[in-house]
Order: sequence, then C-alpha cells, then structure tokens
Amino acid sequence: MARKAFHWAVAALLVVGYFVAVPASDRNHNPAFQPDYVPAHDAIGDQWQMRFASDGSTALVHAASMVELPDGRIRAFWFAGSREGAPDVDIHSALFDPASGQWSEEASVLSREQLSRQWGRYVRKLGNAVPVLDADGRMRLFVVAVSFGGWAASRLVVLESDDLGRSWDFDEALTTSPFMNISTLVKTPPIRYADGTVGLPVYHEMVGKFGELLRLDKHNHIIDKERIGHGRKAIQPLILVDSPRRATAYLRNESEDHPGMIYRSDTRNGGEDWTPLAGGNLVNPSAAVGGVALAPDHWLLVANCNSKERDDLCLKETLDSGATWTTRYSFHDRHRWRAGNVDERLFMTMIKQELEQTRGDQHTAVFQRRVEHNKCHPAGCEFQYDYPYVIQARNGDIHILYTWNKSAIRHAWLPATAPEEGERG
Amino acid sequence: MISELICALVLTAMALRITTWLAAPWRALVAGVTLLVSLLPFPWGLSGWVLSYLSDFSITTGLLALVAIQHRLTGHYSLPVRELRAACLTLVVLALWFYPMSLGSSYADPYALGFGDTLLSGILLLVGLFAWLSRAYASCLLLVAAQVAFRFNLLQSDNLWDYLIDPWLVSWASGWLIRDRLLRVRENRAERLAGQAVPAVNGAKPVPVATASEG
Repeated sequence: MARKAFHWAVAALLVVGYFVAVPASDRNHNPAFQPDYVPAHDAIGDQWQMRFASDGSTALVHAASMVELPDGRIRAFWFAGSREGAPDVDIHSALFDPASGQWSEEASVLSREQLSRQWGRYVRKLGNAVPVLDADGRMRLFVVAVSFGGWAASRLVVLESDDLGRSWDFDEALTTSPFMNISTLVKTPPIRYADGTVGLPVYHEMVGKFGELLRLDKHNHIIDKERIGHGRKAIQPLILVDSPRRATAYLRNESEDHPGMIYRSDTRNGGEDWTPLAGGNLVNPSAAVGGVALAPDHWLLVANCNSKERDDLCLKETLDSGATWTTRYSFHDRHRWRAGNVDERLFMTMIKQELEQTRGDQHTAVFQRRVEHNKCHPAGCEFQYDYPYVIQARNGDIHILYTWNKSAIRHAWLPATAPEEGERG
Repeated sequence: MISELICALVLTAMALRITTWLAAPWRALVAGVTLLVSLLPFPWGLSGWVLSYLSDFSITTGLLALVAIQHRLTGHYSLPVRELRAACLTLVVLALWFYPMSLGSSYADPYALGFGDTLLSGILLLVGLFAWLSRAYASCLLLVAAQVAFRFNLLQSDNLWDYLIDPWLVSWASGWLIRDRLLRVRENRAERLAGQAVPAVNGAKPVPVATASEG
C-alpha cells in the first residue's frame, strides 16, 4: 500500500516539477527591438574633432566603450595597465563634457581585487567592459573577467552603479555557457527591446568562434539567447537596429578559409533567428568594427578598411542597408608604411603629427613615450588603430572611441549639424 | 551560497572516497572538517577557489554527493545500481550531443532552450514519466529537485540545464560506467571460471581449471 502511494506521489511530483519549471511565457514571444536612432539627425558632416580620452597614466589601454549620461555628457570605459592581461589591468573611466569640449582626468573604477572580493571568486585579469544606462538612472557594466588561462576562458560579470559610473558594486556573474561557463566575451554596444529588456551582443572564442545575442531583464537574468553564426568563423557582432523586427549584425572575421572581409547576418523577427553568415562587400583585416544606425537603411560603420593590417581607420556610410558603401572619412591611413619596420625616427615624426592634430592634449610627451614602447621594436615600428566603438548622442552628435597605437583612447567627435527646416520637430 | 554548499558536499564526498581505510568515527571527522574548510568565505574557504576554476556544480551533482556521503558514513547505498547505470548511460549519451551543439558546432543551440522553453520542460516531463514507469524513482526525484531549484533560482545560472547537468557530473558518470563495465567483466569472468571448475572429490570446494592446471 505504502509502495503504491509512493509510486503515485512521485508521479505527482513530476507534474509539479513540470509546472514549476515551465516558463510563464515562452522565451520567444515576438520580441521587438527599440530602434535608437535620432530623428532628423542622419545627415553627417566632416568637421570631426579629435581628442584623447585617456591621459597616458598606464602603458597600455584598449577596448574603449561609452554611454551618454542624462545630462548629455559621455562616460567612457576602457581597460588599462602595464600590458594586456596583466594583473595590474583595471577598468578606467573618464567623462567628456560637450559643453566645454574637455575630457576629465581618467580614474580607475574597477580593479580585479575589488571584483574578486565582491564576487567571492579568484579573478586573474580583466578585459573588455560595456556599459548600459537604464531609464531609472542605474548604470550596468558588463565586464570580461578571467579566473584562469587566456581570453578563451573569459566569463561575464555584471556590476551596477548608482552614481553614473563613478563607483561599482558587483551584482552577478552571467552563466552563458554549459561548459565551465567559460569563453564568453563582450565588446560591442548593447541594444534595447521595446519591453525594456537589453540585448547584449557577445561572442565565444573557445572551440567555436561565433556571435550570440543575450537578452537580459532588469535583474540581469538572461531570458533568451540566440546564435549569430556558428563554427569558427566570426566574433564581436555589431548589431544595427533598423526597425522593431529588423536588424543587421556585422562580425569580425576569424575564418581561416575566407579572410579579409566582414561577415554579415540579418534578422527579420526581432532577433529570434539570424541568417547564415555571409561575406559582405566590406574588406577588413580581422579586426573589430564599430557602427551606428542613423535611420532605417542608413548606417555608419567605422573599421579598418583594408584586408591586411590595422594601420588605417575609416568611416563608411550606406543608405541602402549595406548594399553599397561610401567612404566618408579617413581617420588614419598608413598603408604605405605597412611593412612593420618603419624607421623609428620617421615613425615618431608621423606620430607627432597625429598628436598635433589632436585637440587639447597636455600629455604629448607621455603619449610619444608610450607609442614608442608599444609599437617600436628592434626591426622598426608599426601603426595600429583598432577597436572602434560608436554611439550617437540624443542631440545627434556622433562619438567614436578607438585604441590609438595601443597607447591612448582617441575620441572622434562629430557635432550634429542643425536639421533642415522641413525636418524639425 | 547554494553553489558553495554543493561544492562543499562534492569535496566532502571526494575526501571520504579517498579515506575509506579510516575507521567510521575518523571518517565522520574528515567529513566535518572538509565541510567546514570548504564553506569558509573566499579567499579562506576551498569552495570559492574550486568554483573560480570549475564553475558551479549542478543540483544533481550536489544530491549525488549527498548520497555518496551517506554511503561512506553509514555503509547504506540508497541508489539502485541498475538505475544508476541507466542514468549514467543516458547522461553520457546526452552529453555527447549536448555539449558540441551548445559550444557552437551548429546554429541549433540546445543550451538556449534552458533559459525557459516549454519544449524542454515538456521533454523533461516525458523523460520523468519514462523513468517513473521504469520505477526509477531516484532519477524522478533528482529531476524534480533540479526543476524546483531552477524555479527558485537557487544557483547563479538562469538556465535549467545548469541545474540538471554539468561537465563534472558527466565526467563522473563516464568514470562510473567504465568502472562498472570493468567490474562486470571481472565478475563474468569469475563466474565463467567458476562454471568451468573441476568438480572436486570428497565434497571439497570446486577448483577453477586454471588453478587446477597450475596444481
């Protein structure tokens, strides 16, 4: 009798288990993006202003990101230390005030020791960081943290700030992979959904190299994950949102079979499904791309625009969803000195010219020393401009941050042109 | 904290496994000390360090560690071997499909289903009902425990798969199956040898052929 009762009790528990685990609403319930382009500000000029966001306080800086604050200032983040992956690498931050046109002094806002203490886990090194500002003023920072090994063993942690990014508290580690929760990184700007959730483009580097889109609610719970590509082809998806259902991802090429161009994938159902990766008409040397959607079908892309090296950086524009591209501006073009063995004196002369073209710089001598240390070797020197991160501010300004010769975070600012009469309102 | 507790249970089960030669009171002491050392806060406790490298263990692993601890301390094993064998085999076969797909071998991503999907919950209900019909009650209860823990978000993960399985559970299941297979082969060989034994005279025990021939 007792045995029979137990038998049926187990059956009842199974049914209970089903109902407690079944989601209240399925993970795919017609997600809709929230496009964030600024109406009537899609005409761009060529009056770029160049500045440095970092001040040369560390030997190496890399992987900048940024977010616009409620008052219109821009807060930038990047990782900085003696070398990439070193124990002394912290997440640094600085503020740009468009009213004064000046960057604040940079400051360390997160160290691996602080993260380790708050998380209760060993942290060997820190990497890329990407911010999100919520409507309630809370800022979230998604940071790559590694406990062992290289970047392929990365995990993602989320920190929260109530003072617009000046100080951070650990919230939680995201579990994004079933195998030791490793090999998930972040680089490109988040996107938003109409329901208030955030889409975080991420990528994997261990075994497979592919992109994914994580969807997180306000409690940093992952409610969905969709794959953008598979195998060992492409990483660092940049997602340009056209409409609530349409978006296009551009991915850094990691394929050994088809190098030299940027991969592309599209969605027509709010990110539920992405088309197979296709090689596009944009050449690229397997480097990160940045970009922004200015209007439906009208996008900007900032990337290295050759298939070999990261020694140039240009801005491309499309008005037809990427079918054709026009080069609108060239921030750097050093392809004539590509051999990697540029004479140091000549190299430093050109670096000095770039410094002179940068506004308000009080750290010229420091930057020169940093560049010489990072980019010159006994055989010669080489140029490097990479990891662009692009946003459009609410007033239509376009901001680009990128790594300048591994030594500084350079800021390209294009103040918005006044909208034409017919476009106002 | 649940992650640290599960890790502590796993470490305790391992400590008891390698100290089977100790007397029962000493084993209890080993279990207590291991639990305590594991549960100390990071950076003093073992759990924080182990989880830094291995990531969280599943609820299933935690419950199996509890069963193993009970076995080592009391001598009573509450899982029927036949059921455990079937569960381990299912787990290893599932892992051979699940991990490559989840790590990017195709567009299909079974891991994504774990973030809340009626299909996965339905399949798990069917698996549970199959186990129930087979009278594999322990498997049913493990499944229910993982689902309830998922509902209350007891682990760091938001994914049901992470409550059900983990790579270390799969490794243990693979090891258990290999050991089980070796033991069964040895057992079969012993039975075969016993069957071929030369009947002894005067009521003495039968002597295996090999031993007899050596004699």
